[in-house]
Amino acid sequence: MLHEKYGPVVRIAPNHLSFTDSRAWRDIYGLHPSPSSKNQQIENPKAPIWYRSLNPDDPHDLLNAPPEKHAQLRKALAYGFADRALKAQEGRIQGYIDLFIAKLQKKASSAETQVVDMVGWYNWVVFDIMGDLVFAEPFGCLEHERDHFFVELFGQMLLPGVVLVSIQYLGLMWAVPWILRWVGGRKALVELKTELGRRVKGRIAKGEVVDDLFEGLLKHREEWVSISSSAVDD
Amino acid sequence: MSTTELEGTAHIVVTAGSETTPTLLSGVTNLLVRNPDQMNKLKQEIRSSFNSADEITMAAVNRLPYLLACLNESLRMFPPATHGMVREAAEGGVQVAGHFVPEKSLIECQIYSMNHSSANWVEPFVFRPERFLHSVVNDEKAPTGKRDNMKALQPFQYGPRDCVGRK
Repeated sequence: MLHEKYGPVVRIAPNHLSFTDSRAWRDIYGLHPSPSSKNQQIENPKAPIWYRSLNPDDPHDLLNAPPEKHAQLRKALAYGFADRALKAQEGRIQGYIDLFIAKLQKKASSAETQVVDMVGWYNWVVFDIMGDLVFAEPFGCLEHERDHFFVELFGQMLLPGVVLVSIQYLGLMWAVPWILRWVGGRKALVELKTELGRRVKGRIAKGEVVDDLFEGLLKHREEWVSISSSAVDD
Repeated sequence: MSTTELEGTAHIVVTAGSETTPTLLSGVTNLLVRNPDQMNKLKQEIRSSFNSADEITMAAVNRLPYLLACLNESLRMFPPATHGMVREAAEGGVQVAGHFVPEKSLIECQIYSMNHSSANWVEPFVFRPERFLHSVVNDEKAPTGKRDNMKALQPFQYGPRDCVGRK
C-alpha cells in the first residue's frame, strides 16, 4: 500500500492528496471558519470532477448539492430516520427479515442445497427493505430469489462511473460528454430512468404512507417549490 | 422540488442504503466463518441473550456488545465505502493534519488505507473485534506498546455530509 511506503500523506495524482492521519477527517470534512468572515463556518466543497462532471445538467441531488440545499434535503430525510419513524418501520423491516430467515432455513434443511451465495441473499433482503421504505413497493427479490434489474444496473454503473472520472484525470474531458451521450441512450439506462419515474410517481400517489424514508421529502416538497425558484438554488 | 429532483434523491437513498448494508453483512459473514473462535463467542452472546426469535428487536440487538464489536471490526476491514469523498481545498487553502494545502487541491481520506494503516491500528490485517470492547481497549497493553486509533475509523464519513442513515 502506498501509504505504508510513503507515510500519512500521499500525492496520488498531480493535484490530489490522500491522507491516513486521523486528524484529516476533521480538517477535510468538518466545518472551519471562513477566511472572509469570522462568524461564518464553511466546508471544503465537494470536488466537481467527482460529483458534477457526469451529470452537469441534472438538478442537484443529496450528494452534490451546495450546502444550503443539502441542509434542506438532509432535514427532510432526517424525518424518516428519527426514532419515532424507526419504531414505526421496525414491523415492516422484521417482515422481510422473517421471510429471509424462513427461506434460508428451508434451503438449509433441503437435501438438494449444496451452496448458498449469501452475498445475493443479503442484497435481496436489503433491497426489498429499501424499496419498501422509499417507494412503498418492494423489489420482490426475496420472493423470486433473484436480483431486480434496478439492482443489477446499479452494480453495473459503478465501474463505468469511475472510468469516466479517471479519463478526466488524464485530461480527456472532451471525450466525456460524447461517451455519456452514447451511454445515456443505452436501453438499460433508459429502462432504469423509466422504472425510477414509475416508482416515484407511485409513491407520491400513495401519499398517506407514514414514517417511511420518503415522507419527509414529500412534506417539504411544497415549501421547496418557492425556494427552488429563488436565488438559493444557484 | 421537481419530480426529477425527487427521483434523484430517492435513487441515492435506495442505492446508498442497499449497496452498503449487504457489503457489511457479507464482510462480517466472511470474517466470522474464517475465525471460529470469534464466531463461537458471538454465538454464545446471541444464544444466551434471547429465549425466542421474537425477542430479537432493533433495541435488543443494540445491547449486544460483542455483536457490535464484530460489526465495527468488519466496517474497519471491509468498509462498504472504500474511499472517502473527494473535496476541493476551500478558498485561501486549508490546513490538513498539520500540512498547508493550497486552494483547489483535491483532498480525501482513503478509508481502506486509513483502516489498514499500521500507524493507526495494531496488526491491522487481523480480525479482532475485541479492539472495540472498551474494557479491552483501556486495559490491554498492545504488544508493540501502540494502541488502536479509534478516531481513524469513520465508515459513515465525517461532518455535515456524513451518512444520513447513521445511528
